[in-house]
Amino acid sequence: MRASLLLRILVFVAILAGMCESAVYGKDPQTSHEVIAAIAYRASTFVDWPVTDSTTFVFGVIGDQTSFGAIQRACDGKQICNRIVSVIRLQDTSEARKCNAIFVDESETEKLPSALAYTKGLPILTLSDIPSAVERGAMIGLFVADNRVRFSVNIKQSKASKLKLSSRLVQLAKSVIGTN
Amino acid sequence: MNRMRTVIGIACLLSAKQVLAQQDAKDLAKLDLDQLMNIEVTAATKKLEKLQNIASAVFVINQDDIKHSGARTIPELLRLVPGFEVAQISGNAWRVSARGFNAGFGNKLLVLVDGRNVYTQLHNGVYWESLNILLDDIERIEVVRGPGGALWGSNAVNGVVNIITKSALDTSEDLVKVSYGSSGLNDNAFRLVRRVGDASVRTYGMFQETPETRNMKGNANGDTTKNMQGGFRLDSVKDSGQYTLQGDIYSIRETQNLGLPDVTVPGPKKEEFDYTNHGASLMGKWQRKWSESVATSLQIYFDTFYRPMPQLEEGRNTFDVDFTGTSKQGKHSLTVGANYRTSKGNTVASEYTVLSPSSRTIDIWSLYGQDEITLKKGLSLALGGKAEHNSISRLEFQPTARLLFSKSDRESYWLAASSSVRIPGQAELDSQAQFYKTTDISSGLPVLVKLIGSSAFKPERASTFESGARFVTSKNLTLDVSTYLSHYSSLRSFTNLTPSLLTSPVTYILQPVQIDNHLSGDTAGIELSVRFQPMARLRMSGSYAYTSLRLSYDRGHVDALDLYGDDGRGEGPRHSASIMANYDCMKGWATDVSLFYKDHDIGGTGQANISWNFRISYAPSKAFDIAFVGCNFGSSTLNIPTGRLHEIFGASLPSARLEARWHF
Repeated sequence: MRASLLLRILVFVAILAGMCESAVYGKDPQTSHEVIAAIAYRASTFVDWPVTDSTTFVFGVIGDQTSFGAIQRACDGKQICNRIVSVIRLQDTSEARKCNAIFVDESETEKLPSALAYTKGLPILTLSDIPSAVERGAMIGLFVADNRVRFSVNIKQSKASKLKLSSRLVQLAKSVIGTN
Repeated sequence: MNRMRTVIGIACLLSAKQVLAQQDAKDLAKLDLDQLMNIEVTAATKKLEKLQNIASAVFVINQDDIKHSGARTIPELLRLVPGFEVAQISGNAWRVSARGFNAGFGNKLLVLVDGRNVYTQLHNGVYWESLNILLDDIERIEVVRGPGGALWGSNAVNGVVNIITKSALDTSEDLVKVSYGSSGLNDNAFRLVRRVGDASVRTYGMFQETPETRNMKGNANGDTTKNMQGGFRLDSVKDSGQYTLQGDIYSIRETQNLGLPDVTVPGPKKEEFDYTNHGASLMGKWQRKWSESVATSLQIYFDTFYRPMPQLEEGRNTFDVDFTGTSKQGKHSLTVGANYRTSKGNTVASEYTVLSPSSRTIDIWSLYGQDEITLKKGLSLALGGKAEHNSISRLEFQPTARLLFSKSDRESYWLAASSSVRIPGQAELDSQAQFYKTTDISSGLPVLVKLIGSSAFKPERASTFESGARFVTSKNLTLDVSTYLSHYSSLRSFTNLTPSLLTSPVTYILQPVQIDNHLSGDTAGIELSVRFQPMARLRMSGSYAYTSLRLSYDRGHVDALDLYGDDGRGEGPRHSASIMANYDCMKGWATDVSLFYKDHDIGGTGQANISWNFRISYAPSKAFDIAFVGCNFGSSTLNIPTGRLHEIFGASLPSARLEARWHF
């Protein structure tokens, strides 16, 4: 009887400890820019580019050290479109034309129009976590809602640039501008 | 035995879950899209990281803070800022100041709404009851404590509050807000957003009613406020730049039960007043990036209001044009700007206040420049200043030097030295008579105090030295600390002139008081703020501020109005602190609690005071949320900044309200 009581207490304590632990550590959230970077990379793998001879895929980041580092970590040693990803930090928005994809970070909000102007009509995927990025003309806009990262897509823009967003990507998007 | 296994099993399971959750960021990209979309994240700390690179005491209130604070008005929101002294002196009047001096009407704090200056030059300060903004449309409020004269010009002596509303391009949802509360309090608003080509237009309307406060005996003070307001904001991004056009119009009906200075009746002569304030503003802005390194901004606005206060009617028209250019060349980051501002105030005298001339135009021309030089990696020096020519004190120069050392993205230190100026207001220059009534203690006779201004009134000057440090540690703990030492000279003082004994209509003493500049002194203090997010669901923040004033009068002068006490230490709180916690329970439920502490109320009871707010909210879907909000609990009295000059009105009203919001 006593042993069973002890066991019950033990079970109770273990569950309680586990709960506390998971409350303190288990739910330890990822910082949003790490997840945004991972989704930016992942989403890019659901895009089809026109065929080229190049073996590297240039991913340009217009942003601060934090966002550049996060994208670099997310793309480290990975491939997009069967090409090895090379992440570069853009000093000037005109350099965006050299890239296959660009990410404009929230810290560089004022550079978005210029980056979009430079890449207009070119097969360059434009991603950003600036609020209303897709309404402003980016192809994939990432944002945080209810403590989770979500994204919207602008098919009108991607079509104009001859990029094909997969139906799965469009399906997962929270909102879609244009039709596939 | 089986049970033992269960225990171990559960423990292992829980530990495994924990390991899984603590995935290295590198492995995140291995997860599939929908898995990634299910990971809980904390709010981006980017804004805070950006703050790491500013060499002044900055505090940002973002939309999240606004939502969780339960605040209805801008002054209530400013209670979140460490070291800010927010005092409600009646149902429709507030005093807000940073780093002391609230007893001086909060005249050292500059407030801007999207770059539009709302500091007015009659009594020097902000008419907070006229400053109503749909809180849902605010992007953020950037608060700089300490001098900002080098960038923002005169009157930014102890701080600058920069209210920034969202671009219409960033507002995608229509909104309907309905709120009803105790004693007839209500707060209703709508917002509509429409896209027109590459532009976005946002319009809004607001209808607010604030019930009267009560005095210490529980009697109503008759100070109600009814606000009706509307406006729009249009934003457009074109190849030629970013364009903004915005406008607001309001009508505020106020009632006040004033104690008028009439010597024929014992005590104050109470009279009810009912009047309506009107105002409107229109602003246009053009921002253009000419190249990677050069950007310009041109802003023009017109602001008009009419404020028929019972003591003095005021009408004011302000026109302002501002140009700013920035350029980055190698190690230099240069900002230059030019500004012209003209503000004409017309007054209509009453038997209690007379200004002569009754109208005055204050013109201000200014040029400013700042160069931020990167000395070496992580170390930068900013040198800047504003040269201003105004129609009162002629030429003013407000320089600043700021040194920033960023040891890493997560650790930075700064030092600053600045000087700043508050230029005289219309009342200080032109007041022929402002009457207040007191009683002579020895004879028991009524005393009519007559405040007299002078065209010789000088600007108030301050030299300030500041230092600060910011840390961002793991687990989303950010710590911001700043300290300051300020020396003030030619501060406003009130000097008794020779009184006379009059016998008609009754026997009373007429005491003329000259408004002059015979006060100087020092202030020192420390401000601390902490933000901590131990889990995605729990956010906490806290602040503490210590403020010390040491003011003294020039030889032969005493403080006729006794604003700063016999020891010149002022009546404001020396210690103030706050704690806020927000917990997202589950399934859309969230709770917020905030506590505010002051060791000393200005005026009022002069005692320590703890007040608290709470908010319980439920959002069943993204499109709808409802909240039950309680404010001002435990605050026993209204804080009266100048008990001796104004009549003490009494207690602030704890309020509770139910607020519902629909997004479309």
